[in-house]
Amino acid sequence: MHTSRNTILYPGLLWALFMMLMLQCTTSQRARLVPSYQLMPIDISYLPDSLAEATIQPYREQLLMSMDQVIGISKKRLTEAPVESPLGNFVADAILVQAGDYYSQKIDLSVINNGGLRAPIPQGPVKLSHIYELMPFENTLYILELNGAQTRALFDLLARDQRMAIANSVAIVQNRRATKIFIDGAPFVDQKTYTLAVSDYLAQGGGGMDFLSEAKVLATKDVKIRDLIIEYIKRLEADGIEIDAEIEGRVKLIPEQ
Amino acid sequence: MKRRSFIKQSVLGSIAASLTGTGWAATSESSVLTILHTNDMHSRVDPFPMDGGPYQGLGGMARRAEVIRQIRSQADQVLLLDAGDVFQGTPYFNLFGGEIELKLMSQMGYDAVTLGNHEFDNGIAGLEAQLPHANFPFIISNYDFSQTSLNNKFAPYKVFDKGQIKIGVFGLGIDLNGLVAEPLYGNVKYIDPVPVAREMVQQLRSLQCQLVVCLSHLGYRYQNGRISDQKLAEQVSGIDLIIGGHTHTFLNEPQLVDSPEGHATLINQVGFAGINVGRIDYRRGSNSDQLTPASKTVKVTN
Repeated sequence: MHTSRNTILYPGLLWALFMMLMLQCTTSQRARLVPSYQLMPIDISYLPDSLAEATIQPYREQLLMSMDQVIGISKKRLTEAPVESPLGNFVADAILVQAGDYYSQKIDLSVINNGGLRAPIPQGPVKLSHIYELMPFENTLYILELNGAQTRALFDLLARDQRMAIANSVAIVQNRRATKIFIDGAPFVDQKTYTLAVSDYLAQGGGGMDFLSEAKVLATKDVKIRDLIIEYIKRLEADGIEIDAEIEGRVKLIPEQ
Repeated sequence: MKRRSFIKQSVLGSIAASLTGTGWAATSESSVLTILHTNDMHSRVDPFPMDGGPYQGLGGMARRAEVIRQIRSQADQVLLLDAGDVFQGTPYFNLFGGEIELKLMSQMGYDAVTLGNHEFDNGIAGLEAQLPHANFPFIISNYDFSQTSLNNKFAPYKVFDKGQIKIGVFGLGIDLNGLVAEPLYGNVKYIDPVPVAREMVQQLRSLQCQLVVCLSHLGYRYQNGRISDQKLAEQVSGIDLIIGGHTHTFLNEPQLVDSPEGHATLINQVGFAGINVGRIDYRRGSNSDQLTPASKTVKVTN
């Protein structure tokens, strides 16, 4: 055993030595710098630098003046997550309801990509600044008309990526495919068209939704998606309703086969 | 035993041992270069509010300025870098368009920053309007701005002389198509980062750089075949360090990737929103130094 192991090892040793010498020659100058690492969390143990603080102060004051107002109360902290999330459902609903007002007609569907939800809604008082952090983008509202194939493509992407939120619909998903789709409580019909409220970014094919750029544009509205959310929250507040949302089975995952 | 000692005495082996073994040492005393880095700060000027969220109380640019000031007072040579997405995420950006972020970064003495996709959120004009607030260069090697008003505003690389060490820094941006609304980035052309990176390495080595650093906004790694820092390191030889961004990845320590031709590339990324600063100290290693694995003094969040 002992000898046989040595005979196997020996050529390997020579090869290793050769390779190391080669590496020494080619990389010696730079490789002589040996790195070490420290991760430095920026936490409360550091006092703010006075010059930076003085620089921020006038901006902060201006920001607080316009952004500190409380526009609603949230029953719990709403966060985004794959498949279906309370935050995704809440925002998709807000877009659907408010877009209906701007379009003066009931809209069948709304969709928001999870990547567009940039911060949670905290529990308790919700300030304007929170909604700016949730939806910082200046995206505006598009109303599209989707044919059957485009509608199916939307739900197929939902089933495949599981990184978006929808309103007014239910998708049964198996093996990352939408096997059944219900829109406004009725089964999806290939021959029908459906209206969709969505951001200009997604309407123009962003976020992997290339097929939306082929859809018929019914209307473009000069209102920001963020403002739709703000208006929806103010509307709830006026009605004495707290911000809240649940995972309610809009995307139902069936075990894979 | 013999084989192990060969590996230990080899330069590459010693780096591997100090990185992948028990951990890292913070050796600021003998350090000849301190690289400090951030990524994806996303306009988080103030610390996260105390609202029960996972990052409450963390971050804040004035505190970061203090950390950097303290390190500068101790360290001999500091290079301060950022891997993009300075813009967008709090109302500071909506109201002031990036002005305060760039002013504070200028005060902190950032040496180089690459462009993230969110730098285009107010369009090319929005980015251009903010450039006067930055006293540091934006470095980007794989965007072609020649058909835009930003032509010649950004360098593909920069060489820094920090004491005895010459460092070459280049920058890689992510494909903007599908990520940023087209009217916002207009005629900015994205160029395949892999051949660009090879060209940059060659260029910077020919300029006698001892350390080649890539500021990357490609993202740490993906499940599909998309180009990432991981893939870049696997495909391009000669990059010593990739400071990454875009995927908001919290790495507890840099990851070591074997590049073609056996060159070791370090990849690091420190989350987002200025929650962390990464600190990499380089010291001159003699053969005897390299026999001693580094002791672990890594400070971890939470």
